Amino acid sequence: MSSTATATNSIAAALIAELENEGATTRKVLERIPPEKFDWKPHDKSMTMVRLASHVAEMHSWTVPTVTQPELDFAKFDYKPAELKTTEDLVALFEKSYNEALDALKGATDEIWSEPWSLKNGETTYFTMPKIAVMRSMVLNHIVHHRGQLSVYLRENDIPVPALYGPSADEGQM
Amino acid sequence: MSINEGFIKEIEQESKSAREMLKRIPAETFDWKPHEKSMTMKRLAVLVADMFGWFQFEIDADELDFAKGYDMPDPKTAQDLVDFFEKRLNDGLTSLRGADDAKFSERWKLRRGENIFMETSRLEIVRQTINHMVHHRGQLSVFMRLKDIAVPPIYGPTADEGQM
Repeated sequence: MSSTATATNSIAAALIAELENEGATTRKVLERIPPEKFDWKPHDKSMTMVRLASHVAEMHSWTVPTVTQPELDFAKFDYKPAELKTTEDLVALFEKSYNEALDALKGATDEIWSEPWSLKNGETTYFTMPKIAVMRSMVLNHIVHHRGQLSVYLRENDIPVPALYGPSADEGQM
Repeated sequence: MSINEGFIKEIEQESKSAREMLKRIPAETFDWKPHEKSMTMKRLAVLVADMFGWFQFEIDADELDFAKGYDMPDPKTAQDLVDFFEKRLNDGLTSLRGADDAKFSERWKLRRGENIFMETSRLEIVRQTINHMVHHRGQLSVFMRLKDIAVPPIYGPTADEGQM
C-alpha cells in the first residue's frame, strides 16, 4: 500500500511510511503464532500470548483517537476484547486496526500534530502532550515495545523469530 | 521544532525507563538466557545501553563498517551498565545537538567491507535506531520478568509497578 502524501501532510507521510515498514514485520510475527500457543505465558505475572499479540494488533487503531479527538477517556471507553480462535482471526484483527490507522493518518494535516491531547480516566488526567508525541510514544514506540516482548515469546516456544531490525538467530543472517 | 530537537526530546523520554531497568539487573543474572538461541541478559542489556550512542556514528560519520570491528564493554555490575548507558546516551545526544535539518537528508551506509547491508538517509537511520532500541528494551523487560526482577512502568503500568 502506498501513501498519498500532499504538501500539507508531510508529517503524516513519514508516519505512514514508518507504519508500513514496521507493519510488514509485525504481520510476519503475528502470522506465526499458532492457536495452541494462545494461552501460553512465560511467567505468572505475564500476559498470555494471545493477549500480548492482540494488544500489539489493536494498538495500531489508537491512531484514530490520537488524530481525530483531543483526548481518550477510559471512563467513556467501552473496550471489548476480541474473541480470537485462530491465527487468521489474529491477523484479521491486525489488518483491520492497521488500516484504520492508515486511513486516519491520510486525513491528518501537519497542523494537527502540535495540538494537545490528553489521556484521562474521568476526573484524572494521566498526561497531556502534543499529538505528535502521543503518536510517537503511546502508539508507534509502544507497538515496537510489545512486539519486542512477543519476539521473546516466540523464541521460548521454538517458533522461528523473523528478522526484525537485523537478522535473528533463526533468520536473515547477513 | 527542528528535526534534532524532536529526536532529542523523544530519546530523553525513552531513556527514563531504560535507565530504570538497567539499574535493576543484578550481576548474578548476567549469564542467564531464556533459550539456547537467545542473547544472555548481559549481552542484551549492553546492547540496550549502547544503542543511543549509535547516533554518534550515524551523525558524525557517513557509514559504519563492521569489518573495522566494534568494541563492547564487559560490565561487572548493574552500576557498570548504567554508567555505560549514560556515557553512550551522552555521546549520541552530543552528536544530535550538532546536527542541522540538512544533515538528516544526507545518505548513510551500513556495511561489512564490500558488502553494503543498507543505504538510507540519516533521518531514516536515526528513526530506525530509536525503534530498534525500543524493540530490544521490550525483550529485556521479558528477561527481567523471567528472573523475577520488578519491571518498572514503561509506556504504562506493569504487573509490578505503576498501577493507575
